[in-house]
Amino acid sequence: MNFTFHISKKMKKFKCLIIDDEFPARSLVREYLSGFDNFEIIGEAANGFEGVQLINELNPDVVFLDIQMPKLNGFELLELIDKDPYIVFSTAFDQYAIRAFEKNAIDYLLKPYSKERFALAVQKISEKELEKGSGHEPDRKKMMDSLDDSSEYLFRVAIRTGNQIKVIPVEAISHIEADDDYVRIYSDGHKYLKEKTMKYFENHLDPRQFVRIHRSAIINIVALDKLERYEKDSYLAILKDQTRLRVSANGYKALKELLKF
Amino acid sequence: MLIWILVMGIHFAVLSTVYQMNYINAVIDSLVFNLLLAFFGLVLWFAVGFSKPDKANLFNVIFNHITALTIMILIWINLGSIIAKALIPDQTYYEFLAESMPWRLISAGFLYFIIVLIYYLIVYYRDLQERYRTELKLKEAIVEGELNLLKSQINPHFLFNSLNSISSLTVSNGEKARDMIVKLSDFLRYTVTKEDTQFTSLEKEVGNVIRYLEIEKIRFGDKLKFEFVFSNKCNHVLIPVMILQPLYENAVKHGVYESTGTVLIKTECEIKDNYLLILIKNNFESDVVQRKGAGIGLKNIRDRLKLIYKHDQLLKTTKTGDEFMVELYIPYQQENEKV
Repeated sequence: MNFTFHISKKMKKFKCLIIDDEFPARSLVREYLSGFDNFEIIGEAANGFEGVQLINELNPDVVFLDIQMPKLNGFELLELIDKDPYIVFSTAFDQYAIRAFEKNAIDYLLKPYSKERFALAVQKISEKELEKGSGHEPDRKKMMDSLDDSSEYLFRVAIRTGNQIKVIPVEAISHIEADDDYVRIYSDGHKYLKEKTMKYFENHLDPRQFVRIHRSAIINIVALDKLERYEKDSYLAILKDQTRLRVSANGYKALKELLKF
Repeated sequence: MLIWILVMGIHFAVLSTVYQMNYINAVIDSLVFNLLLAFFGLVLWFAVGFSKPDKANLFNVIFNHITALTIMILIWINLGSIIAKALIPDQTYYEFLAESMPWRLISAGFLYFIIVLIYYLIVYYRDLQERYRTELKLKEAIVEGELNLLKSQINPHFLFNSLNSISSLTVSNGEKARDMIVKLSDFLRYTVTKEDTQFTSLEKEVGNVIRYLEIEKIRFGDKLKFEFVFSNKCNHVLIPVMILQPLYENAVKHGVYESTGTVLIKTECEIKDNYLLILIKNNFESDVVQRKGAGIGLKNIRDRLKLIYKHDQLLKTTKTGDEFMVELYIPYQQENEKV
């Protein structure tokens, strides 16, 4: 315990944010946290939207984040913030999430959790902060990518546009194009940027509905109008909104398989 | 096979010792008659082995066997005699054959009886084993079904989150924590013990639903509101146990869990013609993008209603704008008069 004392003396104060849709769950974190002098609570949010806003406004060091929340869950929230706080997940029962956590050794609290277990999570943060000086930067992106191992297909995509957050059902996406480190998602005549890879969408969209037709494009099969011969052995996909996209040889094969022509 | 060799041996021994017949004749006699009998026995197996012993009535079976026995023995004696006479051209043997006829008839009848008995034993044993196996399978299926039922009824998300709320309340409001423990216990008890009975009064079922909603209300506060408008007449109507609970869990899951504003669950009840009509309405936020549920909850209820009432139009759901409505019709039936 001498060790922790040593850390806490040396440490700055951690600014903490609690995001959970249940009031009693938030009070519990508040209560547990009151025993740690170097952690102070700077805000609370009762849903994902508020959570994103508060994180971006207040720039907390630590976020206690519930996974199951209305409209925007804990994982989706992570995709929408620019800051890089320490995240302590909490969940009551979520097989997929727990499996992902265990595989990636991210700290998480299973509700209900004890004071001791909570203290362990807090201590881990203090230790990580020490390592930070020696070059072990925590990487939110890396953590998120490893969380993406989930085997379930996406049913919605959360996107930030300016100050707004949009949640788009996957059925409403017509196509996705690569754009450097981002992808451009097209839906209902709008275009949205998201910091994800094509590979991610290729793996997480239902392959019965979405086809990667080229290195740089994924289309919703429902949005496809026709295929046009472009050159010898090369095709163009023409979507219902008149978008023209190149189709690679592999893409053509995949389309042929799915549409059985 | 072994038994037949034994029978032939005995037959031969009796002929050669008791009747002082010469060995060759005794062997031929034994072979001819017993092989014929063995052949008939084999034929008999197809008749007995593939019949369903419990389906035919006893009189028919006995009658059939007597007929079969008579026909078989007639053929057997005649055929056997012809073959034996052809093989053994000896006058004394002919006389012996004629003399021994009654004995042959009796022993053949006796053998027939034993063969049929053995066959029936085999058939019954086979049948018993099969029945045992299917029974085992059935039992497994039932246990599995019950387990699934239990799993689907106690939502782990609900359970662990409730426990977390209690954990929180123990510090801020001990009395409320105790209250919630009692409610949660009552709720679980109702869920676990419901197997004993098929039906319960609407009053009791709704009592459990209210307990459930009150627990959720501690978690969600003002986000969840509920209202019950009941006439007294409805309270004692019998309904299947746990038929309402999944409907409220649905309302909470799709309404409260997924909304940031207030969700009101309103229940009305009336007696209409010969039915008890229960109306459950809840609002939900229509802009929420939800994973399409498999609809297992509603399907289970429909299946149960169909099993109990042999009617498949008892549950109706309608979704309009931001309101979800469930209409549940239960054939009218008062307490103390079971189906």
